[in-house]
Amino acid sequence: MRRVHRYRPHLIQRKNKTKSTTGGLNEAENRPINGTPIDTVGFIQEALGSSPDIHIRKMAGEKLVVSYIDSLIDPQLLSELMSNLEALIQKEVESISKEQFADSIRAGSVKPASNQREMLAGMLTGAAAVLIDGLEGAMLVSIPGGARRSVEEPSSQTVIRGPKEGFTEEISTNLSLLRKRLRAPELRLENRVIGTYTQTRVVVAYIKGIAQPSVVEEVLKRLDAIDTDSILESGYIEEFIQDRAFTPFPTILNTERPDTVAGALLDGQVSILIDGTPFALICPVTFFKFFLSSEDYYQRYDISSFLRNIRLFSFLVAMLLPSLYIAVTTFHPEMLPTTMLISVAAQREGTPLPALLEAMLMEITFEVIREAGVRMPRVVGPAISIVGALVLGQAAVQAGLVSAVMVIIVSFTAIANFVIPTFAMSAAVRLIRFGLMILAGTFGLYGILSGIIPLLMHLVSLQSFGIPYFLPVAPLNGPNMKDVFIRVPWPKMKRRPDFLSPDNQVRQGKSPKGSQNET
Amino acid sequence: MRRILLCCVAVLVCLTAAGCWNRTELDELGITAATGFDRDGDDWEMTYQVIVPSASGASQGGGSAGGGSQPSVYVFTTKGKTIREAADLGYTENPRRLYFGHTEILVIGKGAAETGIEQILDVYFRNIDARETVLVAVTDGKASEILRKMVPPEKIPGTALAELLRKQDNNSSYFPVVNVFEIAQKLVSDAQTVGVPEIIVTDGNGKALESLDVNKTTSPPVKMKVERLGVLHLNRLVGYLNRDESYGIAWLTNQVKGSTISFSCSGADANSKNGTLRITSGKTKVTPVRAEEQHYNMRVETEASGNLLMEFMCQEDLSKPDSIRAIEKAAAEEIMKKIQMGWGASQKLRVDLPGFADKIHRKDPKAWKKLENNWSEELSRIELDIHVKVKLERHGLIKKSFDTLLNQNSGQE
Repeated sequence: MRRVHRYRPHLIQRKNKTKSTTGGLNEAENRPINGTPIDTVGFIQEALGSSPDIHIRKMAGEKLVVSYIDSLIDPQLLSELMSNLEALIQKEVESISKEQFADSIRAGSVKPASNQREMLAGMLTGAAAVLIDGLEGAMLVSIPGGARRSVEEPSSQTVIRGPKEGFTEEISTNLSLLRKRLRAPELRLENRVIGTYTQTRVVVAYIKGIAQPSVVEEVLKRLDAIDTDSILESGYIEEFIQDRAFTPFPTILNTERPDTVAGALLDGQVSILIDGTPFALICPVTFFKFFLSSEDYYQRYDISSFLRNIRLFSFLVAMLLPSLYIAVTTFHPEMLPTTMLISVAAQREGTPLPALLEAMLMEITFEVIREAGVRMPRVVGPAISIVGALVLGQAAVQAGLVSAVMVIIVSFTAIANFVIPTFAMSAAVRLIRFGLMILAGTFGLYGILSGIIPLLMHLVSLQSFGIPYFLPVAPLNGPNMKDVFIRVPWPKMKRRPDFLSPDNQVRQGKSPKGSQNET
Repeated sequence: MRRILLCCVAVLVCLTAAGCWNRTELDELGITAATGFDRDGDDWEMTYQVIVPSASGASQGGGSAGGGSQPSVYVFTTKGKTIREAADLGYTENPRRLYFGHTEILVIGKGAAETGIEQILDVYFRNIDARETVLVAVTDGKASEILRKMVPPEKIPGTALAELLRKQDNNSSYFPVVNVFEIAQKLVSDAQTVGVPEIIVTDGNGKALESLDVNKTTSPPVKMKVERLGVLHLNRLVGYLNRDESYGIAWLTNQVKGSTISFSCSGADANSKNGTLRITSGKTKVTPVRAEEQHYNMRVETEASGNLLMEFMCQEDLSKPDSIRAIEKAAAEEIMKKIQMGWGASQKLRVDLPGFADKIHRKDPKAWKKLENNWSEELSRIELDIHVKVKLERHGLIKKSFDTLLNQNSGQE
């Protein structure tokens, strides 16, 4: 498949017209470090201010100075570094070379910094700067520490069968989780630091030989073009690098599961891991990837194929059910079976609002309850469910405000919405639903269709890093259908998706016959 | 941005220019379960059986399971010079928009059926809100009388009547059902004749069925039932066929979906039936056979596979193929008799109920041109050459009849 890049860096161009960001390390001067340690300490104090967590330790009569930021280092490693330095002072300090210094430090990896900016950057990522009289530049000993969370089960993407490890906020932990799954020499990690104030580490991971070099290049290009003061979460990056901003549909997938990332890399996708958030980005993605759970690949193929179709069905239900109800009951009652029509009509009797308003009211109510459920403190959780289920559901029906059918419709829509595995996609559906409801209320099924057709046109016109969003359904791509509506058993999934990795396609070699088909 | 705006404008124009009809909330609809047509002099009398949803469906607020004190339908009659006029006069006494999308049955009263039904057909085919798949029935009295009656224990009488017609059609095939579309199709065909089931109210106090009190008895004094087959020729009702004759026509026109045939044992009196066969599929093929230059006879080939013997009180040993064949023959003779009866009745009314005219027209268009002019004369000359094949596939769970078993025991003693 030919890939066409349609990336138009309009966002960045517009940025260039305005001023670029200021502050942060960009401001730090690029002057070489060539004075005495005391001079350099003066610079550090000037640059970092007199914050209480900045420590400067002078040793051996100010011939050796250690400076570090207390809140970013590990105290144990620091004490080891100190004892290393003590030992060093016992011997010769004046005439030590950089190599000798590096060899004699056991506490952490050592990197020389030749200018002030490099030194500050090192200190801000958890290194101690060791300044030695007579030695040009500063020696950065990496002893990172600080608050971190242990690896826990992902809270937003749970599975029944499959690894329970989730990414944490610490990028080094995340990288180790990823490396542990892909022990391939071809796994490449490209490091970038984005955000003038946050200096966030962003790592682009891909497998050389599987991922398309042009895609990797494009990802790096878009990342390099970002000029912002802060990256606090992957959402920032996503919005900067996505192909089109004006769409409700996400074109970049996010996940907190290392196994999902590993699987994506093996498909030829590129992942972006961001320090400070457990959510990694995966791109390029197609529409149908948003309906997959990593569990699909761990469960038996028949049940996971079934579940996939259930999810797609739920997507349609979540999008269409309320509007279909409105359209059919107000415009096309002949489409209902007689008995159903009578029972719906019986319930509609005595409800004060027209079907459209009733549906709107209930949907908005549900959205409020749902948002309340996310925002409220965990302790008051049960209160919401009581209020939601009893007061707004049952009582509203008994009071004759809404019909029971409407409550069923709204509940099913809500449940169906939760089935969509990726939150970004289910959020898109929530928005579209309201538009379709208004169309259905004014023009019936005709209105729904006139909403869906432009929507579909929009969907097939979307691209994710040059890859058509609706692949492999539109344009239809037969061989890649093995992993869309049905997932074929692993031994049969012989090739990678060719639109993601055209160069390295073979996934399964010739396994012994017995393992594929029992004879 | 410009493109998006243009798209929005295009969508809006499409939506507004197409001109959809107005929306109607469900609680503003008068869902009509059955309509009736009668004549009163020169006026049309329309009767509507409108469903009262709150009384028939699950009503709001739980508690009572709906209905009980209120009848589930409301019936009213309007009069007008034309059908549509009568229908529109309905708005002067009924607050809801009459909605015919779910009408299940159309009952034509005697007066209307005898004056002509072409106007009804026109209304049905011209309007979008009425379906041509509505079942049709005639009645000997007034259609409004039929629509006013309840069909205990069913909730909605219109639906119940339609169900009644359909069930008897599927299970006994005595009176083949027709809908508006089929009636129109048959009336404009060469045969110009169609049979429509007739619904009657049995003798007695018919008023009893008009009140909810009828639900308080286990056996209502009167009931509605399908009694005869009304024969419509051209545009009006010309006569009736009784059940056996109608059954014969059903066989002859290949409309038997499932039925039972009673037959007599070999050697027994023809009037005493002591065996019943369940017919699960029947197929009849009618082919015109040229007898003379201007005359055709009909060859009727019927194949029925009655697969289960339901009742059997004869002496034959069912394990022998010969006795099976005897049963098959007996049943075939019964069918043959019914077909002859039906055809005889049709001939007597001088109408072409089986639709032979179309068969001849299709087979020999030239001959049809000449036959067409005195078709009713020709009808009386047509003879049937009937061949019936019945296949008995299973004989039920027991082999010998209890009659045989009892006789054996008494012989031993």
